[in-house]
Amino acid sequence: MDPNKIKLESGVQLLARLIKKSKIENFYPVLFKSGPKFGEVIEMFSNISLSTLLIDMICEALIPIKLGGAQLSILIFKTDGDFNYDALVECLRKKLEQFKSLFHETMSNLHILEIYDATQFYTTMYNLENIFTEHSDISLIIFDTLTAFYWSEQGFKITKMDMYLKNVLKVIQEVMKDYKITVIYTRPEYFNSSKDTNLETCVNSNTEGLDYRIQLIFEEGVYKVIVKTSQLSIKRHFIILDNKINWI
Amino acid sequence: MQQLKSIELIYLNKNVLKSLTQNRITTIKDFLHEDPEKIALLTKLTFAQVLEIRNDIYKKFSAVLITGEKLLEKIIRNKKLCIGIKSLDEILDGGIPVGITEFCGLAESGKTQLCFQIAINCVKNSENNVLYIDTKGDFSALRIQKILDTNGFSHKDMALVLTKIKVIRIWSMEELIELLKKIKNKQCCIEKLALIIIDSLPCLMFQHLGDSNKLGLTYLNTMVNYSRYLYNEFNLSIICVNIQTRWIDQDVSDLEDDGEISSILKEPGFVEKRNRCLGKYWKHIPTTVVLLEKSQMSTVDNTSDLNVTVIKCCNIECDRYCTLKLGDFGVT
Repeated sequence: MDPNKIKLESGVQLLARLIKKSKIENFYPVLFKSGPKFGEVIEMFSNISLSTLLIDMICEALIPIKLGGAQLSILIFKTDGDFNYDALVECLRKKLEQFKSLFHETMSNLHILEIYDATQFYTTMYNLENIFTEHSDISLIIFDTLTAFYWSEQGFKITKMDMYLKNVLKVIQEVMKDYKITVIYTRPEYFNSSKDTNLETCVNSNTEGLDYRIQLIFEEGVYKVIVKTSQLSIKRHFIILDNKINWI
Repeated sequence: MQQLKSIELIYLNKNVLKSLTQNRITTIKDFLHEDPEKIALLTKLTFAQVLEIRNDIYKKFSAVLITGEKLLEKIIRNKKLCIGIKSLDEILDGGIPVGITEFCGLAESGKTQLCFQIAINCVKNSENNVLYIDTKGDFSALRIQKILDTNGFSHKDMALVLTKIKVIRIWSMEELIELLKKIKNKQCCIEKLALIIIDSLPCLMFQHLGDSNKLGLTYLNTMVNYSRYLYNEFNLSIICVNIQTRWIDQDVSDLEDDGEISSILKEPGFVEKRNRCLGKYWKHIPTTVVLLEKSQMSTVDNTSDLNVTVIKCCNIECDRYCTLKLGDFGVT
């Protein structure tokens, strides 16, 4: 082996590698059943707002295991995604109504980065390593949305939307390759170069692989969620009552 | 993307920049993406120095982490801007939220009139200021004065209202972005600014219609990103006026063209289709969307009905409507 190619491993990276958990347990079983594995990539898209579903997912992910949640530490990249903090806090309060004392402790596992331009977006992304060093328990990272700076990054030559997404995902995966962190990202439905939403083509490619693709559709007052992986495809329905998701 | 040469960074002198440029490392993204060891080799800096540059970049450009506890302090619950038109406030769950709200309608559907009324209601009996960005050159102080006059305002109160509505005329997207940037950087300070009205956005965007490199969308994206900063940091509501277009389509079966198109059957075989302008990118941006439609003016009292439909409220799809009256007295 070329001695110059020896890679140094930081303590945090070593720790991340050694404390092997294979999957996030009890994370939103209604969509993920036994749960996504650490390091997997989940895409969510819709032509309507994903905010209610995303907020419900975040709250369920934060809630302690003893109360039926996944008890994760989460980092959110808030770009032009449309979920708002009020709704998030309100939803979490409702879910922890019986256990008010746990509210602040649960909230402390939430970390947010507000991103306002492309330079800040990439700089923060490369800076994740430092953020993970300080908050080594972060195991889920959410980009809402991943496509916010697409147009401001286009010059005379326009990158195709699919290619752009792949490139951004590549950067994310490169930065996070040593940390076993699950990634969820959202995009608007139109953000797609081809009409073909064939998941297999993405899953088979190792680097830009998507593991789950979640689509939200609103039809006649009912929300339909389609979850696709390379093996299966499931459909679930919910309605929103009092800003709360009720699965049917 | 920020160019390396346009910022001051530790160790980045002329020679270092030159060797980076020769190796096609020109932006911050290029620099961070490249292996630090390779950069050290190319620039003859030490590895430690390259890491220092990286840290300098992180310090200057990386977002600050907000923890859950800090978030709770930051949240101002139910912060909505009450617009003082009761039925409209009701269907908006208390007023216009912090964020971007779109007012959309056909030409002559009362969008500007509603904006005038909201600007008045927002500043009267309060210390709020409103920034009215006029892109069509038709902001009419006379019309506002007339509304106030009809509602029995004294000259002194009229003057007070008008001083609190700051009007600026903007003719291009570049100018609009420059203005928002100045507000962000506090080079342009408007105290107690509660609302920005952009009347109208398509007027600026249509200048870029047909640009092969989609420059208009690049500007729109930049403008939205500045707006996000402004409403989040300064707790502002931003109203953007958009227009609707309509056309008659012969093909009845082709109803599902676009989710945002509403179709009304006029006669068998013909369909009137309506579309919100500004394209697919914009459709996801406003948190609240209000559609306006004006009925014919009544000859009895010279008033028109303004049918208002809220199709999206705080990011939740909905379908609520109310009818307002539009006349000399403004909108009620």
